Amino acid sequence: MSGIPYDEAEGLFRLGLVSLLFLLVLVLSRRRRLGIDRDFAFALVKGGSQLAVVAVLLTLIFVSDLWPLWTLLLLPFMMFIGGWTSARRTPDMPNPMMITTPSIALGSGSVLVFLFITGAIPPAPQFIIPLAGMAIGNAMIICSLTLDRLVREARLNRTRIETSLALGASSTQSIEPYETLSIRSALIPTLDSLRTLGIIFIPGAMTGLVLAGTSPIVAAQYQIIVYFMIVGGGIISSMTVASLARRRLFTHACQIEAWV
Amino acid sequence: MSVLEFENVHKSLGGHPILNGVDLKLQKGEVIAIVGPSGSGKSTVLRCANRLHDPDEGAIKFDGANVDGLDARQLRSQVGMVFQDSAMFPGTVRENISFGLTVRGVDDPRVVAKAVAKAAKVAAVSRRHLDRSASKLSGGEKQRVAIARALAIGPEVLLLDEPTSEIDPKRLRHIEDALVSMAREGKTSFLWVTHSADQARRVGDRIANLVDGRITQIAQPDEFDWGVAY
Repeated sequence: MSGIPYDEAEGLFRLGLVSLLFLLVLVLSRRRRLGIDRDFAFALVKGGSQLAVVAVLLTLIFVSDLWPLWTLLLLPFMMFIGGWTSARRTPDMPNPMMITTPSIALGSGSVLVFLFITGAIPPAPQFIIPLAGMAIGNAMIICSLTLDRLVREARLNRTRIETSLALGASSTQSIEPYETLSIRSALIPTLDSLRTLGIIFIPGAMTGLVLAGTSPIVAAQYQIIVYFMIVGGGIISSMTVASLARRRLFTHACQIEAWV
Repeated sequence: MSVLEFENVHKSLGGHPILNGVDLKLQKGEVIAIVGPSGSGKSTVLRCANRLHDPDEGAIKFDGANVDGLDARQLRSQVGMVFQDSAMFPGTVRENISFGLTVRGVDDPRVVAKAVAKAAKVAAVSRRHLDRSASKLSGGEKQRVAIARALAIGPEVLLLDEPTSEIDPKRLRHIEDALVSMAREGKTSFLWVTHSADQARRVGDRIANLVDGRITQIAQPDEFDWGVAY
């Protein structure tokens, strides 16, 4: 067994055939007047185009002798995009990218370096880039969830926070319960999927490896490595963004900032 | 000697002017009752006094020192505040009352127990209620715990933002008398925001009328002209 048994041209043909299913779904949704056909088509074209660009880009990197350089350029770019996307969750906060980007970079970067040093990631772009994508993507989601929850909790509990400040608590002491709550709640989806790993669904990395012809046992081992990476990077990102956000929520005089 | 002094204090919030030149001097051991219509800036006056807000213009002095130059946490250990909304922290009544001591690192159980008992007595919080969950208290009980919580830190000035609106009359009079006694002993001075003219007369050494962010009248209760108040 050695991966999906067809080449690029045949792949394109199969893709065309499978698109008929998509057209059928589109017609059905239009007949039922679900109102999702336009959004669905747009999302598919956008997602498909992004994947096509990524596929071409990855192919060029994989065959280039300069792949370490391209990889070193690509990873910060991915972290930047992650930081920008996550920052859009808190439009009221001044310069949120200044906290989301470093949080995502620290979370995903530290676990990637650790996996690289331990040899869990072989030194090849085929391994580094997809795994970095997973680490950065998950760190971004967890970072967004943490930040969104923390700001909402600060707004909902404004009186309680100000009461504790008025009693002499530091900003760290007054926000701590909500910080903990935000970090925990942001990690719930990841922990739930970790608990049900292999029971409810076979996760992406393992599916990919099995499709590519890797033994299911090695694929499972790799999937666990991937989950360590996702959970580890997510926790680091979540704690970092919560800690950095705290400084944005309060002034130096332990007052809640006006934008909150 | 004034313990707290406002000099031409201006403050805007969200682009709207709230305080428009407040001048006020609170003497040591004095109770000033602040009255005025809703939205006149009464709460903002109190919030500026313990630096939950900083004024845009003017100065606030505590014991002669501009509060801008003081560490906010240090200031708040001497200028306490009770909010209109008595938000309770998770935990027991005892943990709530000792909160201000705990966050300052006071961990001697005897010191904490003594401060809690003393504050609870003034605020009419029964000893048998100390181990109850604070979140299950009624509105009036929460207000009493909030007063005890602010008293436990031993503030030199206590800012009270309508702190007794839900307290029953018997306990209300006990609390008013106990707080006024503290002022008479010169231990604590009070800025007491109230909507009740009767309460202002009972507790205030002077009554200040705040309208549109300005003190329009300040006088002793028997000289205060209620006809032009509000």
